[in-house]
Amino acid sequence: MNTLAERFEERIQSHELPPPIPRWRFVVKRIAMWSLFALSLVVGAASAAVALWFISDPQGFLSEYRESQTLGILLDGLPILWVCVSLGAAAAAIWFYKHTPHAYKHRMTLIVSAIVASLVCLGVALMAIGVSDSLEQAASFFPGYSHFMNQRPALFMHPEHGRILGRIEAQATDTWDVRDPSGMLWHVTVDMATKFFPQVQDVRQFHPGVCVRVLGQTLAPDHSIKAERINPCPRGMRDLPPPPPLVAPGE
Amino acid sequence: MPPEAHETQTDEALAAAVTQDPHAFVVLIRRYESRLLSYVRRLGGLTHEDGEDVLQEAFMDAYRHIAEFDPSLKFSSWMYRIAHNRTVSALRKRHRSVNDVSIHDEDAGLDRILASELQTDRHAESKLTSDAVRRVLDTLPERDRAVLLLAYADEKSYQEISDILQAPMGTVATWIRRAKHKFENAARALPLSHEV
Repeated sequence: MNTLAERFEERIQSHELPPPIPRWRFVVKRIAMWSLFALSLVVGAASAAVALWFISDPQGFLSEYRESQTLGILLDGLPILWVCVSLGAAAAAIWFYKHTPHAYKHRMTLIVSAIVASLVCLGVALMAIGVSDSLEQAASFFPGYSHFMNQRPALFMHPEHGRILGRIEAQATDTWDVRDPSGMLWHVTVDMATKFFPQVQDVRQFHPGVCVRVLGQTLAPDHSIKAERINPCPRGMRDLPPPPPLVAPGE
Repeated sequence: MPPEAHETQTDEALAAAVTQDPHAFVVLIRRYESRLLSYVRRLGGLTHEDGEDVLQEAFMDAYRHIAEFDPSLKFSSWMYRIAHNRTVSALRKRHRSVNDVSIHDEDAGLDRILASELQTDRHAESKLTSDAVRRVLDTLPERDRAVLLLAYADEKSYQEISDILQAPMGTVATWIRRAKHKFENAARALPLSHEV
């Protein structure tokens, strides 16, 4: 009986043996794997930068705007979309890395923690150099993003509890006109007792066109609010829906 | 170039030469055929013919993918990895358990499992024959069987086993420790006295 070596030799002699797969195919595959790994890291770091930018926003978690428990406040303030993109990119990076030739030398826990730590560190670095805002703005070019993020203002709109959010349209000495995301115009009464974030002196930062969050007492039914506190809007609220035709208070 | 012309070359040099001259691969097959056939048969509990079929496919895989061979690895580790994967895949495809086949011609390596650091008690150890070792091995899960065969029958280092099974060295060490423990328990549980 022929040995395997002899059988192989016979196949060579009879030219039955297909040629080996060319090296370039493996090189291309390897480059593609590393490139996709790098791309996942870039996407993950960028989305982590935006997610951290939202999460670190002191306006995003102020608990006085709703009565729910801490978990609810955290979930509301969490930029779910960006966190999901970060996690998806991290999962993709782990998968691509696991398919590189020497990945098996490392434990899965080490790979996962190293990739997650890298994404968080890169995200913090990107946030620190101030690109999160631009990245978030750039994301609005993706179809569906604006629709998704435009749900956020609704989280901060609780007029029944004296909490609204909108853009300043006009300012008089003691009354500001603020248009909310639905286009409704609110008359906000501002007096000496009104506090501004973070200090009273910073009232100059609030001028027509600026997005503000008003906390106070609703004076139903004429869409007036007596402001106890005026804060800047949470991050990412720059693209409030364009105001519809003017709706007068009480209509 | 005839295969004989390559006889003095290292495995890695031969692997590098295969794309230019397929005869270089014949030398590699000669060097690995016997020990890989033993490994494949012991791991899969395969008959000689089935073992040869699996090994032939493994060699064909290796030949086709020879350009993918990473010279930072030992060729033997790479070849064992392919043969191991082919055996596991053949086993899964056939949905069969390990056969009780006789591999008398390849028993030598099994003795080393006995001579290893297995903590079987002296009484059980003295009664274990190569045949009994094989029967005990056959009761173990595929991975335990693989690490014991590689570590003791084929005398592979932890680094080589790590490269073959594509697992971190620490994990391999844990697998071997657990496999030894399972082997010890299985050896105690099997009625072995008649093997003497």
